[in-house]
Amino acid sequence: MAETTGTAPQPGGPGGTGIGPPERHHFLWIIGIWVVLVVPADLIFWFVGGPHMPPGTMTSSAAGQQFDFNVLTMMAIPVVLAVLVYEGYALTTWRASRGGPEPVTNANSRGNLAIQTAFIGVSTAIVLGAFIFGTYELVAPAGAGGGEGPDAAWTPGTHSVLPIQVIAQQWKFTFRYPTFGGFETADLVIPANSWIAFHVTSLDVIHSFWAYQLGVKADANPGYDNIAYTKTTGQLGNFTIRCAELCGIWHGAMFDTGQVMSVPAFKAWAAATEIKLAAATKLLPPFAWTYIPDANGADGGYYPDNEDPYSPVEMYGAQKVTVTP
Amino acid sequence: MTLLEERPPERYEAPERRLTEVIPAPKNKGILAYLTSTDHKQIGINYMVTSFTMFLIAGAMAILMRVQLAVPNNNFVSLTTYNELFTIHGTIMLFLFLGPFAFGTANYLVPIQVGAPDMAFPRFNAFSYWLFLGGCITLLSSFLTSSGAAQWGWFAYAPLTEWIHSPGPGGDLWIVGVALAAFSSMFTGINLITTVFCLRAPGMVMFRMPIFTWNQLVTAFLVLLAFPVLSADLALLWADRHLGTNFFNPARGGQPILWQDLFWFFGHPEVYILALPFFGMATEIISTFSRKPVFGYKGMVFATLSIGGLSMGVWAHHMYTTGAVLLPFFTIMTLLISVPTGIKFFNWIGTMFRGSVRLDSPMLFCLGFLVCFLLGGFTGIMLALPPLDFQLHDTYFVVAHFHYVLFGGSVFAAFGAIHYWFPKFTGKKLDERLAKITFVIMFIGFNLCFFPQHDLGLRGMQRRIATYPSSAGWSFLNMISSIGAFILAFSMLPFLINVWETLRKGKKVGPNPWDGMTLEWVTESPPIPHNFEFIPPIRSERPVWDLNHPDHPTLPHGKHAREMARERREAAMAGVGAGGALGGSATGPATDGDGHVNGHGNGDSPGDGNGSNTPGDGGDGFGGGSP
Repeated sequence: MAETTGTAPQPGGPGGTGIGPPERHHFLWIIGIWVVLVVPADLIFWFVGGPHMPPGTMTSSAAGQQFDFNVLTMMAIPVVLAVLVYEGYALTTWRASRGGPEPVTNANSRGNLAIQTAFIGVSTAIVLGAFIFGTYELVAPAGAGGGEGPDAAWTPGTHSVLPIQVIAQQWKFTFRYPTFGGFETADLVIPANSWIAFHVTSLDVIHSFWAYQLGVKADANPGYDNIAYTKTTGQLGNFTIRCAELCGIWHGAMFDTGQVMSVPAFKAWAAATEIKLAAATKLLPPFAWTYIPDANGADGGYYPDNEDPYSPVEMYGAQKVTVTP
Repeated sequence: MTLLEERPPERYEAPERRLTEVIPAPKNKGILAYLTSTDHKQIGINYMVTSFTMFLIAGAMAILMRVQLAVPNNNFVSLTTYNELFTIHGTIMLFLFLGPFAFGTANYLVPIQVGAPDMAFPRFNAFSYWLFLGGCITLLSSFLTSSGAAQWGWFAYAPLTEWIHSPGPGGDLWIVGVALAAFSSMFTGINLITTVFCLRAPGMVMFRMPIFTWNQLVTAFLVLLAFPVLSADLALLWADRHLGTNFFNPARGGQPILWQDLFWFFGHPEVYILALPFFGMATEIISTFSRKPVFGYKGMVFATLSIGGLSMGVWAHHMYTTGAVLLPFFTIMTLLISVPTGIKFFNWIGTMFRGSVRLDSPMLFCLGFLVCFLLGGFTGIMLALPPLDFQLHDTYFVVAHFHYVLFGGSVFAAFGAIHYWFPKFTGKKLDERLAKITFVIMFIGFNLCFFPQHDLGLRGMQRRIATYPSSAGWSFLNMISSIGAFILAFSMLPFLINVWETLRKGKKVGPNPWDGMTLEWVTESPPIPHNFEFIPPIRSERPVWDLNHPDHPTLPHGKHAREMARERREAAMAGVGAGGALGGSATGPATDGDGHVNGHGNGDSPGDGNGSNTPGDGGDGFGGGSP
């Protein structure tokens, strides 16, 4: 394909037979059409569509994901348009039905080392650029919203992080607040303008904790403390919680709503909830970052289960607790 | 790269008659031929027909799923049935359609493309097919069990797959069905590799093999690297379910993430196992319908090898959110694989450059393949970046991504291949009008079905949910997607009518209706039992083109082009015609009605400078093909 690159148009069409009108410079035409389409498309996307792309700006990680998506889409538009323009050009210019001669069969029709090397160089540079960009976006926020395992490599440079344990089981999420007496609640409430560390674990099968508007997703693996950091912005309101990993028949029903409050409102809520749930908290097993599932695999030995028909075989996990009225 | 130079000087010796002389077996017909054949062509057809039937079955399951998701709060199928449907749909499409279909084409075409009379191990080949068919029957029979079919998704994450969470024989039949398909694939891989390395015709050096065969060769190596890991993984799961082991049971110290590591160590090469053969098909088609040699042939080969190598090191990009992955390592590995993939893409469009592009149906499907695969590839780059993956993982964005890769890419190329090689398989050409109607409907239906799913994923719709509330804001896009699915399914109708009518009433075409370039186009359609009575001189990667177009031969390039030019100059100065110095002697090839060579004859073709084109060495045809 390089035979026209940097060379004068060959007379007589592809065969260069010397018969017929001079051939136009294909590359210039293709690039010209492409530029005319790409510039407005990218600008329209960036300024019109981009600011509204999900998941929004409720946390630093969500805003980062929105930015990343917009940047990648800005990169994708030129590439996709290049191929579409090329195909359109090829089909209108080089159609056999237009009575063209036999195609070029000179040496360059089988390859052109310079052009191919240039393409490899450019594509490798783009790929390395994407790698640097993606890694920077992963590392720099010190909490890009993804599960980083029990020993997170990139943690916020502050000790003022609110830990919240996310306990997944078939088919619900519950949340423990270890800094507020370890109470457990079905309501996920977090403060605005704060660093949060979600410690995600499971009592049975694998789930995935996905707080959509927060830009947080971390797999809930049994016996595993998967930590995801994020920093809330000043934006208050509700966010959606879903399980993103197939976990059984009611997987689709495993969703909930969380709330971002102002810091004073959150403190008031936490203190009140700690008091309200104090009696129930005493029945919970001691707070730990993970709870080993039990032999029946149903509740992870987490809850007292005198009524559990599988109790005789329950050999693992938390000690059985005798509940007295 | 060739054994040509090591061959002893040729001298005729009268063959000694031995007791081991092969006596042709009586040729069976009809169902008996199907049941007993060890002919690679019959087995190839068996693979393709069976896997395509599985494709239709899995497609019907997809339609049921799209009906369920068309509107919110739907109860068209139960939650259990929905989980069964997406599990078996994915399992069939990946294990029992795309891979086996590729093996079917490999079975049929690779021996012919390298000039061999059959696969290296014909009975082993038949055994592979029967294993595959056993896998199909085993998997589908799981619907008949009391527990129903498996409900854990095609990648079957433990510990959901442990007996306590998924009891019943349905899951066991899934394990056995997949294992049978895995062993079938491994055996086919062994057969393909041996065939390519040991049965190439004289002159068919590695760098003259068609790109399709190269891709099948690399795929076969990937199969041998990846499928044993899957088989081991399945064995561990079976042991957990029935033998009291605890490999994946967290209650007794097992590691559920181990399943993911092992599965994806197989699973990502599997994606390329399902893509590379179809890349090869697209390459052949684009080259033929542009009437040009493949641009950057060696670049294509090295890109295929690079993809094969890199694909073994990217498995954990499916596991970014587990918290058990060194993210930057798998990011760079995943992104690097896009470089050789990009090279392929560049070379495809480079092949079209200043070609003589014919928009016959195979080429149309390949143009659709280029567009769809490009979109799928780019969303793959997005998903390779961890911060974006945190948002998009396990959403419909991923569903759209891999359907753009595996349907928009592989299936479109597969349909291109069916239309392209159908005349070779049957001797009859599919009706072009119906074929183009099929393409248009399929292209519209596919994009209408899957493009909105990108947006659904961005809007927060996770995978594998049987229904959703109307308040989620997904209703409109899901309806559009379901309409697209119906249109996509409808596209099968003109295709099946076309196949049926062509088989019944289609006119016979010659051995080379498309002016194809590789060896399969020089033999009969369908080929005779031992494939060739004659093999043309093989001086480039498109020997049949060289034979049929002596005025436009495949010219060497790079340093070989310079060497050839120098030889021409020297020959001219010495007063000797360059053609005589560079080609074999011509003895007047027989031609068919299209004017293409069809029978014994010798071409006047130039060497390509790849190392073995000593003057005159390609002068004779070789019957049978085995060295």
